[in-house]
Amino acid sequence: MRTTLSLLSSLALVGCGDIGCPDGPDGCSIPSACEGLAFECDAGSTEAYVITADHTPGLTGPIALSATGDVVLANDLIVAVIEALDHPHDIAPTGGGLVDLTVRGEPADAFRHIFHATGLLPEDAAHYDTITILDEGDVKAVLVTGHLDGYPKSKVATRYEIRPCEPGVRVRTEVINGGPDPLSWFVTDAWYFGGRGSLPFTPGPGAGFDHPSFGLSTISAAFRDTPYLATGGHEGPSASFVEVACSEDLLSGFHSAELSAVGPAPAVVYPGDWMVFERFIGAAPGPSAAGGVDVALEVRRQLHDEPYVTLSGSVEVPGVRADAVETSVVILEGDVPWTQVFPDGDGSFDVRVPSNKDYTVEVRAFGKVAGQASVSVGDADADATVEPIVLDAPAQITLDATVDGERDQVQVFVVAADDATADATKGDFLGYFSGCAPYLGNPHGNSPACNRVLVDGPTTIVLEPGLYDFYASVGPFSTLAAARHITVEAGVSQTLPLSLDMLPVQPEGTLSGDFHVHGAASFDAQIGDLDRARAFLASRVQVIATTEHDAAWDYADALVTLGATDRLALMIGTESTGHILFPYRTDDPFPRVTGHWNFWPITFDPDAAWHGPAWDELAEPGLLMTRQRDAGWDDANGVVELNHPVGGLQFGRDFGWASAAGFHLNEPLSHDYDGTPQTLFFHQPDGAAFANSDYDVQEVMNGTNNGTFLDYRAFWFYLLDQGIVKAGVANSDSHSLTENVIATPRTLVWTDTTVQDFDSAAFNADLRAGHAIGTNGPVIVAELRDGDAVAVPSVDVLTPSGAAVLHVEISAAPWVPVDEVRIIVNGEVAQTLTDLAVPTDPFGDGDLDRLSVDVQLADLLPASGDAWIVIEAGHALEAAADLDCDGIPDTGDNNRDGAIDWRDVAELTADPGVDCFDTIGPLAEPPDPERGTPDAWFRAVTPGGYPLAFTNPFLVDVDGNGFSGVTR
Amino acid sequence: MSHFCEEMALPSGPVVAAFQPGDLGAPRRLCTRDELAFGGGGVIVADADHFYGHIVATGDLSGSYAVREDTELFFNAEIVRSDGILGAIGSSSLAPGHLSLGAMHAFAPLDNFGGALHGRLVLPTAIGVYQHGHPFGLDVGFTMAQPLVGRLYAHEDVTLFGQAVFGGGTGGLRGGVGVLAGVEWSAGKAFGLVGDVHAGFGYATAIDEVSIAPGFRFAGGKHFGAELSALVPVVGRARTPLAAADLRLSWRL
Repeated sequence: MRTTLSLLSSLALVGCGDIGCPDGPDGCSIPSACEGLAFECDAGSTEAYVITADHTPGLTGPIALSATGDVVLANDLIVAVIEALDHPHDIAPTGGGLVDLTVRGEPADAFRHIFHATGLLPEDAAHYDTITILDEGDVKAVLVTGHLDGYPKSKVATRYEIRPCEPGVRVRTEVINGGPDPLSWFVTDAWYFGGRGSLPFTPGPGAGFDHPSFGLSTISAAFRDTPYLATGGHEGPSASFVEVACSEDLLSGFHSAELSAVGPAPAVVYPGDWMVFERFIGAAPGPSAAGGVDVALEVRRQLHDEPYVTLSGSVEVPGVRADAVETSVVILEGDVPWTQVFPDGDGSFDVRVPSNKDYTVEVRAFGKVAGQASVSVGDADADATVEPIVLDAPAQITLDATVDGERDQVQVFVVAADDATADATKGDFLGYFSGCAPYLGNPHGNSPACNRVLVDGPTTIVLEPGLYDFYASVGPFSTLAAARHITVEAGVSQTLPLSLDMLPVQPEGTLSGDFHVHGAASFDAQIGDLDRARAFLASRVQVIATTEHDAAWDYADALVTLGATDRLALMIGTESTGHILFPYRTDDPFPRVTGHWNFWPITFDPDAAWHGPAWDELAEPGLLMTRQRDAGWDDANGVVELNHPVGGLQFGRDFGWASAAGFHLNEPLSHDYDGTPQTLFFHQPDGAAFANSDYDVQEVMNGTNNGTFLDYRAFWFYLLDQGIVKAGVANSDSHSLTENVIATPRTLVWTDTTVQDFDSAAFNADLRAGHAIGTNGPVIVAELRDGDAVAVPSVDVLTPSGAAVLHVEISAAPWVPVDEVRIIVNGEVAQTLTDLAVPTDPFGDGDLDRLSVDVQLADLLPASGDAWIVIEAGHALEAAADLDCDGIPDTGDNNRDGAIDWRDVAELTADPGVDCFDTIGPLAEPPDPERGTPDAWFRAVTPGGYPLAFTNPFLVDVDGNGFSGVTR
Repeated sequence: MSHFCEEMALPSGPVVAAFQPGDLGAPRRLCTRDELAFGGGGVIVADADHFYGHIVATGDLSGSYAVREDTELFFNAEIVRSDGILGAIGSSSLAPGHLSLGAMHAFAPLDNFGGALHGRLVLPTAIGVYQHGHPFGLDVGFTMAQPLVGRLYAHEDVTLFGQAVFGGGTGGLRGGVGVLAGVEWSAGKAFGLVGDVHAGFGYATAIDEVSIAPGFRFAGGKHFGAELSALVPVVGRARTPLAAADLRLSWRL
């Protein structure tokens, strides 16, 4: 609770003049913002227009979301795009927000989104109803008016204004409490960064890029006051953005990698009263926060008479360019960072800083502080220079990888070979995204990223001295090239050859696919098109469904550039990602989203809103499917996929439908809809042509780290038990070169079509039919042989005879350990096979066949009733229990005492004394393997993962009356 | 003064707890008296489904002066007002509150009937919660009282009230009507009870609230009086207050 005290401070709340729109939008005329601000130049100009097919702002790149119908405000320095009212993005209920912003001469947009709100809840968001272009001579403006989404009588009006020569947009927002109740308002610009892109920078004690973490219940404690918000760190091409208040001395707000919200301090607003917020939102070229900070300091000089100087300096990295080691310079006054800059390639930098202060110039390289110097700056008319800062000399290594003797796209994983190197080389990106050892570059940017390098021909990387292992991989169906215990010395360059060979592990008549991948077009990714496509090729995956969050993107141009159009089949899709919470459960008034859903193929239209897919908010799955179909998703020949069905929250939003809906896996689903969880599964929402249950496939494996497999499998098995059959798939959900590796895991689909002559309809039909396995290495070929008839796993129901035999073959590359095969019948492990062949040389090319076995079907089936059979292979699974009694495994044997109880729950210190816990988790992760073991080599290229594969089911109709589920 | 207005310190008339700032729209007693009082009050609103709460607590100084036997002037000053909105992002204010000035004129005293007109102006002195608008409130009402049996009396009140925000925007002009009926009883001059039913209409919605209003009254000697009362809605909308409470300690001059 923020408290304002005293008469004097309340007097200070009196804002900027009269309200321009006291009665709402009718006859509304909002005054210009930021009176007293003036920029001058020669031959400045302004323009404002609605985007049409013939008149576009020419913005490019996957992050540019401007579409036909949006409104451009531009001058000689910047281009801004305001969404059309029916083109909302991210958390906003309507358009009217800022969706693109860039500097002239840099058409590639790097700006996500700003929308307006008065609080955190969906009802606090601005809902704009009108948009008007105002031509006031040299001044152009866009006026958007409306109301708060949950308070129709509380009116909102925002004026965006552009003037010649100004490096940004002036914005004024007025909000009136037209309702009968006093409200707490935080009139805010919500900057949506997404989580892996631009990072917020604010000057404040201990701040800069470092901000207090918060949850929905602790957010008030995260508020900080700051003179400006700048952004930095985005992978190039890029711009830095900044916001400076004009109506307040300081901005108040909170910040995270996902979102920043800034505005006047929260205040009580009584009926009839109003608030105004004026600010300047600027843009500057380059990825450094300093671009935006320079603009902010000029604005504050004009509005608050705060002088600044230009501070110059340089960073020297012996033997290499400064940008080869991702040098970053932060200028601090005590513990207050004022600006941040990435020096030029020659190491030089020039930044503006407030006058009359003593500064520390801190240099980061390889993700950590690497040097510093001190400097004092004087008055505004005396620019300053800091002495050159010389860093330690790094090492260089040239990676030269071949596949089957030819240079080709390869991904190399660089791993510290001893603890000393691991400890010495740990780094992070500006305090975020930690955990890389060694640190080679922005973990979510282009190569090199974290400890990953894309290699195509000789590729030189710069790293810190130490002892390293280098592992090269082109996916699970090749050898693993390793160069171990390589000493890398300062100032020394060396070349490291890495040779790989493809292996005949992938069965004939299959295509491998990854149907859940992201690039910079997704709000939570920033890897560029070229490196994203290179990663596709380096994984040797054959079919990709591109699934950007709430948008669509096509990597065709990147494949053309790489000369690889015949090596990969692309299907353009989208991941519908709910942002706006809404109530749809009658058992719980808490508003929710409905999880994430992939659709492919869809129509890609770079000029349309979201580049083609439908708006995906405020919709149960069945209505979502209807909207996507109406927007061009081919429902007859395409696929709708339920992503990661079980899981927690991402920025307060459930990313799993089963969790959001609250399905209880110990109770059956019901067709009698009453809004309670068990009745939501089959519900057909009003206006929908589909039921929520009409999806085609479900992710059973998602992510290179298998940690969620038990949960997703539990939901899949729960549905199979009830006769609800959805094909299972495995996807990477990769957003960068780090966290999840492309196509690890992947889905192998038995299909007649080929990459060179790709028939997406046929491929998708086979996928929907369940002619597939999911794997991160082991390959399972399973057949049900009944005389001359041979059946493969699928969604088809089988009626085999009593003589039928289940034939299982397991193969894998020699570096993929497989020590267990599980035959699962009706959700229980019926047989565990452990007598598998063990490769003699993990780095060789032999010992691919691990098991071939026949099992009498009669020995597997239950005494009575139908059955479903799934085969899994890989490592033994970690033990897990369902301590909260919802049917989903939630807690592992974390203390390794052989039992799973309250002692394994991280947040419990005593036995809760109940059968079903409220506090649970986590699931147990496999222990880190010892260096130099097969598990360690597997883990080196499958970070966080353990070998795992699964088949789709055999559905066995024993009694001949169809398959409608089983009873365990 | 009505013939059934006694010279006693025990408070009389309808319950004084009110929902609106500055006691806007609150009923008024029939009997004039010279009196000073201090105390405190509060209002709680809870709309859990929308993560909203509103808590107001005030420290009040009030008084009345009988310019004539049938006419009095009165005031209520919120010396301090704590006004907090609870929610996903809350905010609060602690500052001087509202000042209301009013007058009451009794007339037509009959053996079994007394009536009075009253009015109140609420001034925008709670500057801790204003951003740009300054609300003025005005109410006009008619109160009545009748003896029933012994020391049991009935009373009724109808008050029209409204608010206008100067310098504000849409939604600042609104009004409503409050209707009250109840009984009060006293055991001698030292202890009394009051029980009212109050209904409000039109300010936020057609039926703002229907409330029960109990009160406990005490007196010590000829001068000291005290009243603890509450206003508890039984019908209302989502953001009708859960309750309002008032404690007043008075000194009859």
